[in-house]
Amino acid sequence: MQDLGAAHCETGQPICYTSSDSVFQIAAHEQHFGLERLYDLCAKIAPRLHAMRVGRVIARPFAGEIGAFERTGNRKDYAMTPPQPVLSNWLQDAGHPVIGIGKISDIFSGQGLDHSLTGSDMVLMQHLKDQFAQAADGSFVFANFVEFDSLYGHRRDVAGYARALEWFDRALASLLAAMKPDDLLILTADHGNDPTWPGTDHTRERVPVLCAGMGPKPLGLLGFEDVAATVATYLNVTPKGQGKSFL
Amino acid sequence: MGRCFLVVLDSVGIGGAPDADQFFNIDLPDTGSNTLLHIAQACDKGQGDRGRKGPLQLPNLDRLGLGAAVELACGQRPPNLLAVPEGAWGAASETSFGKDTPSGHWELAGLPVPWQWHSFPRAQPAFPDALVAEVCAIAGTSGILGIGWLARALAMAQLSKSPACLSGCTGRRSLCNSWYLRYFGQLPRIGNRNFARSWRGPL
Repeated sequence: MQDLGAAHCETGQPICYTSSDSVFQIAAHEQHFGLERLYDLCAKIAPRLHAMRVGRVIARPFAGEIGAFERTGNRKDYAMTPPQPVLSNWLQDAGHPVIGIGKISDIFSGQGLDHSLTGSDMVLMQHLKDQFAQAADGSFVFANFVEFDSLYGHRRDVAGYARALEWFDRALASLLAAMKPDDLLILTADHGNDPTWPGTDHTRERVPVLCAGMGPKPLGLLGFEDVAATVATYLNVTPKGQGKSFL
Repeated sequence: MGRCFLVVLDSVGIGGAPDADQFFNIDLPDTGSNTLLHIAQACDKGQGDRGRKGPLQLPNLDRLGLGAAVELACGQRPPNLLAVPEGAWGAASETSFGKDTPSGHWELAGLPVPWQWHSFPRAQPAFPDALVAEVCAIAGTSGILGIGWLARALAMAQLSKSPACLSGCTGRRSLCNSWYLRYFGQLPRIGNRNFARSWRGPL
Protein backbone atom coordinates (compact mmCIF):
# COMPACT_ATOMS: atom_id res chain seq x y z
CA MET A 1 0.00 0.00 0.00
CA GLN A 2 2.92 2.35 0.70
CA ASP A 3 4.23 2.06 -2.90
CA LEU A 4 0.79 2.63 -4.35
CA GLY A 5 0.32 5.61 -2.05
CA ALA A 6 3.49 7.18 -3.40
CA ALA A 7 2.36 6.58 -6.99
CA HIS A 8 -1.03 8.03 -6.07
CA CYS A 9 0.51 11.24 -4.72
CA GLU A 10 2.64 11.52 -7.86
CA THR A 11 -0.08 10.84 -10.48
CA GLY A 12 -3.22 11.94 -8.61
CA GLN A 13 -4.93 8.71 -9.69
CA PRO A 14 -7.28 6.98 -7.21
CA ILE A 15 -6.33 3.50 -5.95
CA CYS A 16 -9.10 0.97 -6.69
CA TYR A 17 -9.12 -2.52 -5.18
CA THR A 18 -11.43 -5.34 -4.11
CA SER A 19 -11.49 -8.62 -2.15
CA SER A 20 -13.51 -11.81 -1.91
CA ASP A 21 -16.39 -9.65 -0.65
CA SER A 22 -18.70 -7.88 -3.06
CA VAL A 23 -16.94 -4.52 -2.70
CA PHE A 24 -15.27 -1.80 -4.74
CA GLN A 25 -12.88 0.17 -2.56
CA ILE A 26 -11.27 3.49 -3.43
CA ALA A 27 -8.26 4.73 -1.48
CA ALA A 28 -7.01 8.30 -1.82
CA HIS A 29 -4.90 10.77 0.14
CA GLU A 30 -6.96 13.23 2.20
CA GLN A 31 -4.81 16.22 1.23
CA HIS A 32 -3.30 15.31 -2.17
CA PHE A 33 -6.58 14.02 -3.60
CA GLY A 34 -9.01 15.60 -1.11
CA LEU A 35 -11.47 13.92 1.25
CA GLU A 36 -14.59 15.56 -0.17
CA ARG A 37 -13.45 14.72 -3.69
CA LEU A 38 -13.04 11.06 -2.65
CA TYR A 39 -16.53 11.00 -1.09
CA ASP A 40 -17.95 12.65 -4.22
CA LEU A 41 -16.28 10.06 -6.45
CA CYS A 42 -17.63 7.18 -4.34
CA ALA A 43 -21.15 8.64 -4.20
CA LYS A 44 -21.24 9.13 -7.99
CA ILE A 45 -19.82 5.72 -8.95
CA ALA A 46 -21.87 3.78 -6.32
CA PRO A 47 -25.16 3.54 -8.30
CA ARG A 48 -23.30 1.96 -11.23
CA LEU A 49 -21.65 -0.59 -8.92
CA HIS A 50 -24.95 -1.34 -7.16
CA ALA A 51 -26.55 -1.99 -10.56
CA MET A 52 -23.79 -4.57 -11.12
CA ARG A 53 -24.87 -6.21 -7.79
CA VAL A 54 -21.71 -5.04 -6.07
CA GLY A 55 -22.92 -4.56 -2.51
CA ARG A 56 -20.73 -1.71 -1.33
CA VAL A 57 -18.41 1.05 -2.45
CA ILE A 58 -16.02 2.03 0.35
CA ALA A 59 -14.06 5.29 0.58
CA ARG A 60 -10.70 4.52 2.21
CA PRO A 61 -8.93 7.82 2.90
CA PHE A 62 -5.36 7.90 4.15
CA ALA A 63 -2.98 10.65 5.24
CA GLY A 64 0.67 11.24 6.07
CA GLU A 65 3.90 11.54 4.16
CA ILE A 66 5.43 9.16 1.62
CA GLY A 67 6.70 6.07 3.41
CA ALA A 68 4.46 6.68 6.43
CA PHE A 69 0.90 6.67 5.08
CA GLU A 70 -1.84 5.71 7.52
CA ARG A 71 -5.55 5.13 7.11
CA THR A 72 -7.64 7.78 8.80
CA GLY A 73 -10.93 7.27 10.64
CA ASN A 74 -12.90 8.78 7.75
CA ARG A 75 -13.86 5.53 6.01
CA LYS A 76 -17.32 5.79 4.48
CA ASP A 77 -19.53 3.00 3.12
CA TYR A 78 -21.96 3.40 0.21
CA ALA A 79 -24.12 0.27 0.57
CA MET A 80 -26.92 -0.85 -1.67
CA THR A 81 -30.36 0.00 -0.33
CA PRO A 82 -32.53 -3.11 0.23
CA PRO A 83 -34.88 -3.39 -2.78
CA GLN A 84 -37.93 -3.93 -0.56
CA PRO A 85 -39.00 -2.86 2.93
CA VAL A 86 -37.42 -4.89 5.75
CA LEU A 87 -38.35 -5.59 9.37
CA SER A 88 -37.18 -2.17 10.59
CA ASN A 89 -39.37 -0.46 7.93
CA TRP A 90 -42.41 -2.60 8.80
CA LEU A 91 -42.08 -1.60 12.45
CA GLN A 92 -41.20 2.04 11.89
CA ASP A 93 -44.12 2.47 9.49
CA ALA A 94 -46.40 1.08 12.22
CA GLY A 95 -45.13 3.74 14.64
CA HIS A 96 -42.64 1.73 16.67
CA PRO A 97 -39.35 3.34 17.73
CA VAL A 98 -36.46 1.54 15.95
CA ILE A 99 -32.88 1.82 17.20
CA GLY A 100 -29.84 0.44 15.37
CA ILE A 101 -26.66 -0.39 17.29
CA GLY A 102 -23.34 -1.02 15.52
CA LYS A 103 -23.16 -1.44 11.75
CA ILE A 104 -26.91 -2.06 11.33
CA SER A 105 -27.26 1.40 9.77
CA ASP A 106 -24.50 0.63 7.21
CA ILE A 107 -26.02 -2.76 6.36
CA PHE A 108 -29.47 -1.31 5.68
CA SER A 109 -28.24 1.95 4.20
CA GLY A 110 -29.81 3.82 7.12
CA GLN A 111 -33.31 2.50 6.25
CA GLY A 112 -36.00 2.29 8.88
CA LEU A 113 -33.97 3.56 11.84
CA ASP A 114 -34.87 6.42 14.20
CA HIS A 115 -31.44 6.40 15.81
CA SER A 116 -28.12 4.72 15.13
CA LEU A 117 -25.47 4.21 17.80
CA THR A 118 -21.93 3.18 16.82
CA GLY A 119 -18.52 2.45 18.34
CA SER A 120 -16.31 -0.47 19.33
CA ASP A 121 -18.06 -3.58 20.66
CA MET A 122 -17.33 -2.48 24.21
CA VAL A 123 -19.01 0.87 23.52
CA LEU A 124 -21.89 -0.88 21.77
CA MET A 125 -22.49 -3.05 24.82
CA GLN A 126 -22.91 0.09 26.91
CA HIS A 127 -25.33 1.47 24.29
CA LEU A 128 -27.28 -1.78 24.45
CA LYS A 129 -27.40 -1.71 28.27
CA ASP A 130 -28.64 1.90 28.06
CA GLN A 131 -31.40 0.80 25.69
CA PHE A 132 -32.44 -1.98 28.07
CA ALA A 133 -32.72 0.73 30.74
CA GLN A 134 -34.34 3.47 28.61
CA ALA A 135 -36.06 2.19 25.46
CA ALA A 136 -39.76 3.01 25.34
CA ASP A 137 -42.44 0.32 25.30
CA GLY A 138 -42.89 -1.12 21.81
CA SER A 139 -39.31 -0.33 20.76
CA PHE A 140 -37.27 -2.54 18.47
CA VAL A 141 -33.52 -2.52 19.16
CA PHE A 142 -31.41 -4.17 16.43
CA ALA A 143 -27.74 -4.64 17.37
CA ASN A 144 -24.69 -6.14 15.70
CA PHE A 145 -21.46 -7.04 17.49
CA VAL A 146 -18.89 -7.24 14.70
CA GLU A 147 -15.58 -7.92 16.41
CA PHE A 148 -16.01 -11.71 16.59
CA ASP A 149 -15.81 -11.57 12.80
CA SER A 150 -13.57 -8.60 12.04
CA LEU A 151 -10.92 -9.06 14.73
CA TYR A 152 -10.85 -12.82 15.27
CA GLY A 153 -12.71 -14.85 12.61
CA HIS A 154 -10.96 -13.46 9.54
CA ARG A 155 -7.64 -13.53 11.37
CA ARG A 156 -8.20 -17.16 12.35
CA ASP A 157 -7.50 -16.30 15.99
CA VAL A 158 -9.11 -19.05 18.12
CA ALA A 159 -8.02 -17.68 21.51
CA GLY A 160 -9.10 -14.14 20.62
CA TYR A 161 -12.49 -15.39 19.40
CA ALA A 162 -12.97 -17.43 22.60
CA ARG A 163 -12.04 -14.39 24.69
CA ALA A 164 -14.60 -12.24 22.83
CA LEU A 165 -17.33 -14.87 23.31
CA GLU A 166 -16.57 -15.10 27.04
CA TRP A 167 -16.64 -11.28 27.30
CA PHE A 168 -20.04 -11.22 25.61
CA ASP A 169 -21.36 -13.99 27.84
CA ARG A 170 -20.39 -12.06 30.99
CA ALA A 171 -22.09 -8.91 29.65
CA LEU A 172 -25.17 -10.96 28.74
CA ALA A 173 -25.76 -11.64 32.44
CA SER A 174 -26.43 -7.96 33.06
CA LEU A 175 -28.65 -7.68 29.96
CA LEU A 176 -30.75 -10.60 31.18
CA ALA A 177 -31.00 -8.96 34.59
CA ALA A 178 -32.20 -5.70 32.98
CA MET A 179 -35.07 -7.33 31.05
CA LYS A 180 -38.60 -6.26 31.93
CA PRO A 181 -41.38 -8.85 32.19
CA ASP A 182 -42.75 -8.22 28.68
CA ASP A 183 -39.39 -7.97 26.86
CA LEU A 184 -38.10 -10.42 24.28
CA LEU A 185 -34.37 -10.86 23.59
CA ILE A 186 -33.29 -12.84 20.53
CA LEU A 187 -29.61 -13.72 20.00
CA THR A 188 -28.52 -14.99 16.60
CA ALA A 189 -25.79 -14.71 13.95
CA ASP A 190 -25.49 -13.85 10.25
CA HIS A 191 -23.04 -16.54 8.99
CA GLY A 192 -19.98 -18.41 10.24
CA ASN A 193 -16.28 -17.55 10.30
CA ASP A 194 -14.57 -20.64 11.70
CA PRO A 195 -11.17 -19.58 13.06
CA THR A 196 -9.82 -23.14 12.68
CA TRP A 197 -10.71 -23.26 8.97
CA PRO A 198 -8.25 -22.75 6.08
CA GLY A 199 -8.42 -19.42 4.24
CA THR A 200 -9.66 -16.12 5.65
CA ASP A 201 -13.26 -15.95 4.40
CA HIS A 202 -16.59 -16.51 6.12
CA THR A 203 -17.90 -20.08 6.39
CA ARG A 204 -21.40 -21.23 5.40
CA GLU A 205 -23.08 -22.47 8.58
CA ARG A 206 -26.34 -22.63 10.41
CA VAL A 207 -26.73 -20.03 13.17
CA PRO A 208 -28.11 -20.27 16.70
CA VAL A 209 -31.45 -18.67 17.63
CA LEU A 210 -31.62 -18.17 21.40
CA CYS A 211 -34.48 -16.35 23.11
CA ALA A 212 -35.00 -15.00 26.60
CA GLY A 213 -38.49 -13.94 27.61
CA MET A 214 -40.46 -16.90 26.19
CA GLY A 215 -39.58 -19.59 28.71
CA PRO A 216 -37.98 -22.93 27.81
CA LYS A 217 -39.00 -24.15 24.35
CA PRO A 218 -37.26 -26.15 21.62
CA LEU A 219 -37.81 -24.28 18.33
CA GLY A 220 -36.21 -26.87 16.06
CA LEU A 221 -34.74 -26.04 12.66
CA LEU A 222 -35.70 -22.57 11.47
CA GLY A 223 -35.14 -20.19 8.58
CA PHE A 224 -33.45 -16.79 8.95
CA GLU A 225 -36.72 -15.13 7.88
CA ASP A 226 -38.55 -16.66 10.85
CA VAL A 227 -36.62 -14.25 13.07
CA ALA A 228 -38.15 -11.23 11.29
CA ALA A 229 -41.64 -12.74 11.46
CA THR A 230 -41.22 -13.40 15.19
CA VAL A 231 -40.05 -9.89 16.03
CA ALA A 232 -42.89 -8.31 14.04
CA THR A 233 -45.50 -10.61 15.56
CA TYR A 234 -44.19 -9.94 19.05
CA LEU A 235 -44.70 -6.21 18.49
CA ASN A 236 -48.20 -6.75 17.01
CA VAL A 237 -47.19 -5.90 13.43
CA THR A 238 -48.13 -8.21 10.56
CA PRO A 239 -44.95 -9.67 9.07
CA LYS A 240 -44.34 -9.56 5.32
CA GLY A 241 -42.50 -12.27 3.44
CA GLN A 242 -42.25 -16.01 3.91
CA GLY A 243 -41.07 -16.25 7.53
CA LYS A 244 -43.14 -17.96 10.25
CA SER A 245 -43.24 -16.66 13.79
CA PHE A 246 -41.97 -19.16 16.36
CA LEU A 247 -43.75 -17.49 19.30
CA MET B 1 -46.38 -3.73 25.28
CA GLY B 2 -42.82 -4.92 25.83
CA ARG B 3 -39.70 -4.21 23.80
CA CYS B 4 -37.86 -6.51 21.43
CA PHE B 5 -34.06 -6.75 21.25
CA LEU B 6 -32.48 -8.56 18.30
CA VAL B 7 -28.75 -9.04 18.80
CA VAL B 8 -26.54 -10.44 16.02
CA LEU B 9 -23.26 -11.99 17.10
CA ASP B 10 -21.43 -11.51 13.83
CA SER B 11 -20.08 -14.79 12.42
CA VAL B 12 -20.96 -17.01 15.42
CA GLY B 13 -22.08 -19.97 13.31
CA ILE B 14 -22.85 -23.47 14.59
CA GLY B 15 -22.10 -25.64 11.53
CA GLY B 16 -24.39 -28.04 9.71
CA ALA B 17 -25.48 -25.83 6.79
CA PRO B 18 -27.05 -28.22 4.27
CA ASP B 19 -25.49 -26.28 1.35
CA ALA B 20 -22.02 -25.74 2.84
CA ASP B 21 -20.45 -27.69 -0.04
CA GLN B 22 -21.41 -24.87 -2.41
CA PHE B 23 -19.35 -22.28 -0.50
CA PHE B 24 -15.57 -22.10 -0.41
CA ASN B 25 -12.46 -20.81 1.28
CA ILE B 26 -9.93 -20.55 -1.55
CA ASP B 27 -11.00 -23.81 -3.27
CA LEU B 28 -11.92 -25.85 -0.19
CA PRO B 29 -15.66 -26.33 0.43
CA ASP B 30 -17.03 -25.10 3.77
CA THR B 31 -18.44 -28.57 4.53
CA GLY B 32 -17.70 -29.36 8.18
CA SER B 33 -16.86 -25.78 9.17
CA ASN B 34 -18.29 -24.95 12.59
CA THR B 35 -17.22 -21.77 14.31
CA LEU B 36 -18.61 -22.43 17.79
CA LEU B 37 -17.94 -26.18 17.95
CA HIS B 38 -14.33 -25.88 16.77
CA ILE B 39 -13.56 -23.04 19.18
CA ALA B 40 -15.02 -25.07 22.06
CA GLN B 41 -13.02 -28.14 21.00
CA ALA B 42 -9.79 -26.18 20.64
CA CYS B 43 -10.24 -24.54 24.06
CA ASP B 44 -10.99 -27.92 25.59
CA LYS B 45 -7.63 -29.17 24.33
CA GLY B 46 -5.80 -26.15 25.76
CA GLN B 47 -5.37 -24.55 22.34
CA GLY B 48 -7.15 -21.34 23.31
CA ASP B 49 -4.88 -20.31 26.17
CA ARG B 50 -3.87 -16.78 25.20
CA GLY B 51 -5.35 -13.97 27.27
CA ARG B 52 -7.69 -16.60 28.70
CA LYS B 53 -7.43 -20.23 29.81
CA GLY B 54 -9.07 -23.63 29.67
CA PRO B 55 -12.43 -24.85 28.38
CA LEU B 56 -14.82 -22.32 26.80
CA GLN B 57 -16.93 -20.70 29.54
CA LEU B 58 -20.29 -19.48 28.21
CA PRO B 59 -22.71 -20.24 31.06
CA ASN B 60 -25.32 -17.62 30.12
CA LEU B 61 -25.51 -18.43 26.41
CA ASP B 62 -25.52 -22.11 27.26
CA ARG B 63 -28.35 -21.65 29.77
CA LEU B 64 -30.42 -20.15 26.94
CA GLY B 65 -29.69 -23.23 24.80
CA LEU B 66 -26.44 -22.63 22.87
CA GLY B 67 -24.97 -26.10 23.41
CA ALA B 68 -28.29 -27.73 22.50
CA ALA B 69 -28.55 -25.54 19.37
CA VAL B 70 -25.07 -26.60 18.22
CA GLU B 71 -26.02 -30.24 18.67
CA LEU B 72 -29.25 -29.69 16.71
CA ALA B 73 -27.37 -27.96 13.89
CA CYS B 74 -24.51 -30.40 13.44
CA GLY B 75 -25.09 -33.52 15.57
CA GLN B 76 -22.27 -32.87 18.02
CA ARG B 77 -22.44 -31.36 21.50
CA PRO B 78 -19.58 -28.91 22.11
CA PRO B 79 -17.42 -29.61 25.18
CA ASN B 80 -18.36 -27.63 28.29
CA LEU B 81 -21.70 -26.46 26.81
CA LEU B 82 -23.89 -29.10 28.42
CA ALA B 83 -26.66 -27.11 30.12
CA VAL B 84 -30.33 -28.08 29.97
CA PRO B 85 -31.85 -25.12 28.05
CA GLU B 86 -33.95 -22.64 30.01
CA GLY B 87 -34.62 -20.40 26.99
CA ALA B 88 -36.24 -20.96 23.61
CA TRP B 89 -33.57 -22.32 21.29
CA GLY B 90 -33.17 -23.44 17.69
CA ALA B 91 -30.85 -23.43 14.68
CA ALA B 92 -31.55 -21.42 11.52
CA SER B 93 -30.47 -21.94 7.90
CA GLU B 94 -30.01 -19.21 5.30
CA THR B 95 -31.54 -19.41 1.82
CA SER B 96 -29.73 -16.44 0.21
CA PHE B 97 -26.82 -17.61 -1.89
CA GLY B 98 -24.26 -15.55 -0.04
CA LYS B 99 -22.37 -16.01 3.22
CA ASP B 100 -21.77 -12.29 3.63
CA THR B 101 -22.95 -9.74 6.18
CA PRO B 102 -25.67 -8.01 4.10
CA SER B 103 -27.21 -11.31 2.90
CA GLY B 104 -27.38 -12.64 6.46
CA HIS B 105 -28.85 -9.48 7.95
CA TRP B 106 -31.31 -8.77 5.13
CA GLU B 107 -32.68 -12.31 5.43
CA LEU B 108 -32.88 -12.08 9.24
CA ALA B 109 -34.88 -8.88 8.58
CA GLY B 110 -37.26 -10.75 6.27
CA LEU B 111 -35.67 -10.13 2.87
CA PRO B 112 -33.71 -13.04 1.36
CA VAL B 113 -31.35 -11.69 -1.29
CA PRO B 114 -32.77 -12.73 -4.65
CA TRP B 115 -29.48 -12.40 -6.52
CA GLN B 116 -25.89 -13.47 -6.20
CA TRP B 117 -23.66 -10.56 -5.21
CA HIS B 118 -21.04 -9.77 -7.79
CA SER B 119 -17.43 -10.27 -6.79
CA PHE B 120 -14.69 -9.16 -9.15
CA PRO B 121 -12.54 -11.92 -10.68
CA ARG B 122 -9.15 -12.74 -9.21
CA ALA B 123 -7.54 -12.64 -12.65
CA GLN B 124 -6.21 -9.33 -13.97
CA PRO B 125 -7.72 -7.06 -15.04
CA ALA B 126 -10.22 -7.41 -12.21
CA PHE B 127 -12.27 -4.37 -13.27
CA PRO B 128 -14.04 -3.99 -16.62
CA ASP B 129 -12.73 -1.21 -18.89
CA ALA B 130 -16.05 0.64 -18.95
CA LEU B 131 -16.09 0.87 -15.15
CA VAL B 132 -12.52 2.15 -15.06
CA ALA B 133 -13.37 4.74 -17.72
CA GLU B 134 -16.30 5.96 -15.64
CA VAL B 135 -14.18 6.26 -12.48
CA CYS B 136 -11.62 8.27 -14.48
CA ALA B 137 -14.30 10.53 -15.94
CA ILE B 138 -15.74 11.33 -12.50
CA ALA B 139 -12.33 11.74 -10.85
CA GLY B 140 -10.94 13.74 -13.78
CA THR B 141 -7.85 11.54 -14.03
CA SER B 142 -6.26 9.72 -16.96
CA GLY B 143 -6.26 6.37 -15.16
CA ILE B 144 -6.59 4.49 -11.89
CA LEU B 145 -4.06 2.62 -9.83
CA GLY B 146 -6.11 -0.54 -10.15
CA ILE B 147 -4.76 -3.53 -8.35
CA GLY B 148 -7.77 -5.82 -8.26
CA TRP B 149 -7.53 -8.37 -5.52
CA LEU B 150 -5.60 -7.02 -2.58
CA ALA B 151 -6.71 -9.75 -0.21
CA ARG B 152 -5.33 -12.58 -2.34
CA ALA B 153 -1.69 -12.06 -1.40
CA LEU B 154 -2.65 -11.38 2.20
CA ALA B 155 -4.78 -14.49 2.34
CA MET B 156 -1.99 -16.67 1.00
CA ALA B 157 0.50 -15.17 3.46
CA GLN B 158 -1.87 -15.91 6.32
CA LEU B 159 -2.54 -19.42 5.07
CA SER B 160 1.10 -20.28 5.33
CA LYS B 161 1.09 -19.10 8.94
CA SER B 162 -2.23 -20.71 9.83
CA PRO B 163 -2.22 -22.50 13.21
CA ALA B 164 -3.88 -25.43 11.43
CA CYS B 165 -0.68 -25.94 9.46
CA LEU B 166 1.36 -28.13 11.76
CA SER B 167 4.36 -28.67 9.56
CA GLY B 168 5.09 -25.05 8.73
CA CYS B 169 4.30 -25.79 5.11
CA THR B 170 3.57 -22.99 2.69
CA GLY B 171 1.84 -24.80 -0.17
CA ARG B 172 -1.90 -25.13 -0.16
CA ARG B 173 -1.82 -28.86 -0.80
CA SER B 174 0.41 -29.65 2.17
CA LEU B 175 -1.63 -27.29 4.31
CA CYS B 176 -4.70 -29.27 3.37
CA ASN B 177 -2.98 -32.51 4.38
CA SER B 178 -2.10 -31.45 7.88
CA TRP B 179 -5.42 -29.71 8.35
CA TYR B 180 -7.43 -32.73 7.21
CA LEU B 181 -5.43 -35.17 9.30
CA ARG B 182 -5.92 -33.01 12.33
CA TYR B 183 -9.67 -32.73 11.96
CA PHE B 184 -10.46 -36.06 10.40
CA GLY B 185 -12.88 -37.89 12.65
CA GLN B 186 -14.10 -34.69 14.21
CA LEU B 187 -15.98 -33.54 11.17
CA PRO B 188 -19.72 -33.82 11.61
CA ARG B 189 -21.24 -36.73 9.75
CA ILE B 190 -23.25 -34.38 7.63
CA GLY B 191 -21.45 -33.65 4.39
CA ASN B 192 -18.41 -35.82 5.12
CA ARG B 193 -18.83 -37.52 1.80
CA ASN B 194 -18.83 -34.21 -0.01
CA PHE B 195 -15.60 -33.31 1.64
CA ALA B 196 -14.02 -36.63 0.82
CA ARG B 197 -15.06 -36.31 -2.79
CA SER B 198 -13.45 -32.92 -3.12
CA TRP B 199 -10.32 -34.13 -1.40
CA ARG B 200 -7.58 -34.46 -3.99
CA GLY B 201 -4.41 -34.84 -1.95
CA PRO B 202 -2.93 -38.05 -0.47
CA LEU B 203 -4.25 -39.19 2.90
